Amino acid sequence: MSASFSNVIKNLFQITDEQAMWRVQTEDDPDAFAVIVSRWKIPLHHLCTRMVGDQHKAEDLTQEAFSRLFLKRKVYEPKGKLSTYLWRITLNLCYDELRRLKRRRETVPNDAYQDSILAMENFVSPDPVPGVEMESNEQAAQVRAALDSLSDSHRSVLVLRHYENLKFREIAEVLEIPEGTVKSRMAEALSQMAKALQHPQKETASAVSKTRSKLQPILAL
Amino acid sequence: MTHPKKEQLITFSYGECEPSEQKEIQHHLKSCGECQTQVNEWSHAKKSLNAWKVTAPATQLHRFGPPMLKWGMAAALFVSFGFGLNSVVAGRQNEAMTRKIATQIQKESQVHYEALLQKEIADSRAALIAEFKQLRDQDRQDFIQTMQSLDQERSGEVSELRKDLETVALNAAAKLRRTERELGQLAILTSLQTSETTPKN
Repeated sequence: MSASFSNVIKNLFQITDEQAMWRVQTEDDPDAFAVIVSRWKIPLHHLCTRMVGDQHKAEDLTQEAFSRLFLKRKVYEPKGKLSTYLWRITLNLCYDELRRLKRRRETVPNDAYQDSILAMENFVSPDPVPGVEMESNEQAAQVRAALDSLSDSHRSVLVLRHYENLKFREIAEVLEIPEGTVKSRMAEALSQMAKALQHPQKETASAVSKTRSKLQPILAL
Repeated sequence: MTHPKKEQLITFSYGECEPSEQKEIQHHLKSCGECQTQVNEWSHAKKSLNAWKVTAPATQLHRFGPPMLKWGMAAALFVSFGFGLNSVVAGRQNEAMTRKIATQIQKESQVHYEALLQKEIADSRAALIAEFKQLRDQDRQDFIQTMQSLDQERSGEVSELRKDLETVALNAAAKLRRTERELGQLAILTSLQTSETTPKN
């Protein structure tokens, strides 16, 4: 009770994102910018990770998004919520990165192989962990692979709605498309995910069982 | 039976429907296996999606965004370097360093801005003084010119007046002389008349 009351009081005295951005624009206030960064670095990092599938690349992209916001602070027009703008610039950076990756895969197939190996390693804990965690890592890898099979436009809608918990209306604002289109993309994306996760690719399944059989003797120790 | 659109079902699935629509769809789902299957399929997919959990970035970014562009770039570079560095160095050290650099940047930029402000003030003061002087000189010249033209006008009027006065004086003098002459002639005539009448008596 007292904790929630103190939270209410705290929220009353906290500046909004828009107020912080206004301070950054007019006074170049570093503290105000730090407020924006501390509030948004985690959600934006999660978005990037789920869009490009690489946690380290996602960190770079998040940094890039904040740098871009800072560099464009004088030309930023506060038309709506700052968060909408932040989601949009971050998503555009993700699209650019995905295009770059696609080009590289097309030109250097070996690199793609290396990338996928690296990407898989990101989802498998480096420490050999038994039982439940092992299973959840497998599931996570399946989900990631399924998400990877979606088109960029479907994936962005799914990530924003399901993982980042944005309303359909907010997603429409971020992507600058009609709300109906967002909903139909979401329905389509979720149906594709349902199919992909019901029948995970045979290769993935066999790879997982192979890994498990290799780890079995170690786990038995 | 009319099925709800997929858009409506997905809105229902994420609990964003209006209460009345929510009730309608719930009612429909009770009697429609097809739509029920669709919603269940999505519900399973949603549960599976939650298996992928992303950990938060380890880096602490508390101080960022100094007032000048170049410092902004520097800070961005520093913090992005910090992101990579963080895997090796503990987050706390990184945070302390970020703070230290941010205060340093703040101080330096303050000094820089103060110098800029002073220069700006001095420049604008000099510009104002120069403008004031120019305006004052202009005003003075205008005043002198006006006075001169007024003086010329006045002196013209004075000379005309003098000319008129002189004419009047000359005319008066001529008239006086004539009157004097007439008076003399009258006196002579009067004395002649008197001398003519006296012997008769």
